[in-house]
This record gives sequence, C-alpha cells and structure tokens, in this order.
Amino acid sequence: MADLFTPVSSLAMFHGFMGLLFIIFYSGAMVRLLEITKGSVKMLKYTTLGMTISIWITSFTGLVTYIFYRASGPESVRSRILAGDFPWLHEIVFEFKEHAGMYPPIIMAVATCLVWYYGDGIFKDKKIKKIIAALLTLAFLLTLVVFGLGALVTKVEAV
Amino acid sequence: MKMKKIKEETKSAAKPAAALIGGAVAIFFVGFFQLLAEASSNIKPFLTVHSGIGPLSGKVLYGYALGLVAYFVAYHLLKNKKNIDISRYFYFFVIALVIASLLVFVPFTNLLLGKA
Repeated sequence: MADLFTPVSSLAMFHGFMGLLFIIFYSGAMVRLLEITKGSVKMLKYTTLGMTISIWITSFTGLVTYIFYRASGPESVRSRILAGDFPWLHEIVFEFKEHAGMYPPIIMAVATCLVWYYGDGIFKDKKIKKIIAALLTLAFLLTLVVFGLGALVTKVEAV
Repeated sequence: MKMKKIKEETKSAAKPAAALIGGAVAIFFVGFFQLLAEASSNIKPFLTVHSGIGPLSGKVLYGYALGLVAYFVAYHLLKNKKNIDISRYFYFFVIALVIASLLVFVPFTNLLLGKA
C-alpha cells in the first residue's frame, strides 16, 4: 500500500487526473459551442479556460514525472524499458508522447485567445465557431493519443 | 450601445491571426528542435536547459519562446491590415501541427535523415 502511493506515483496519478479533467472540460466546451446562445458564451469562456489550465498543469506535471522516468541508472523506467523486450516503447512511443504532449497546451492557448477575443461574436460568425470547434477537437484528439500512449507505457513499466 | 455594436462588427482579426501564427511557430519549433537533436547530438547540450528533463526542456522552452516572439511580430505586421481571412491562418496552423507531429515521430525522422 505504501509503495502504491509514493510521491512520484502520486504525481503521475495527478498528471493522469488532470488529463482526464481536460477531457471532461472538452465535452462541456463542445456542448456550449454547439448550442451556442448569448448566455452560453460566458460558460464557453470558462470551460475553455478550464481546458487550458488543466492541460498546462497536465504538461507541467508530466515534465516533472519525466525527470524520474529518464533518471540515470539501471533502475529508471527508461532503462528498464530499453533493457526489456519492448525497447521501441521508449524509442518510438514515448519519444512521440513526450514531444506531442507539448502541443495541446499551445493549441488550447490559441483556442482560448479566440474564444475570449470574439466573445458574443462567435455565434454571429460560423467560420469562427468552426475554427474554435476544430482547435478544441485537435487538442482533444492529440491529448487522447498521448494519454493512450502513456497508458501503454505504464502497462509495461510504471513510474 | 450603437457604438459598441459598430465596434464589434468591425473587430479586427489581427490578434487571433497573430495567435494562430505564434501557436504554429511554437509547435513547429518543438518538432524542428527534435529533428535537429536526432540529426546531431552536438545540439543536445544547448537544448538541455534542465539537466533532469534533458534536451526536451530546451525544445519546449525555446519553441514556446519563439512562438511568443512570432505572436508579437505577426501582430505588429497585421494590426493595420484590413479584411484578414482568419481561415488561411487556421490552415497554416493545422499544417504546422501536422509537420511538427511528423517531426517527433522517430520512424519519420529516421527516414528523413536516412537512418532507416
């Protein structure tokens, strides 16, 4: 039980939880965007802000967890993966995950800028509405891929 | 009220377009620095801002910083421009995202660098 909740594993769990929160905020933001009325613009602003904050925390905690993942020595997760049966899990999967995981915070920062800048104008201009929906969905899909790859690596070797 | 309505209708798209350019530059450079790191290990010390995180720290820090600089430059260039078509900047952003995603996919970079 004590091993289950080490500081590093707790941080990794919090990292996953924030990613989950991001996905929940996405569904809220999309509902607001698809059924947009004057009243829902305010909620759309807050849900996209929630998405942005949660994804920035997810990425930051991911970077901190990464320090333990790539620590030098044969006991680090990276060393164990590279010495194991599936070295490609680090060489291809984790390499992609660690870099592509840095894209959604930027996508969300841009999407939030657009939502807060246009405000009520979003429901007057369909083009803006589509661009915002596309940006939110791109960030969501990329996070989902990164999330899945993280789960795959964790299944073989947990931090 | 009427003034506010007129102001809303004529709202410039310079800031959103600059945000899309800045975001595209930030994302592209994270991928581009990864390609450079794969091509030559000499760049890794320059990219290692934090020893624990390794070269990823520099890729993210420098990439994001370049994106921020690109935002201010793009805004400066676009602020007086009228009839900005935001769709074009969005497509530019998506293309940058696709390229950057490919640049962090090792089989693709190996192919690009002739390692495969």
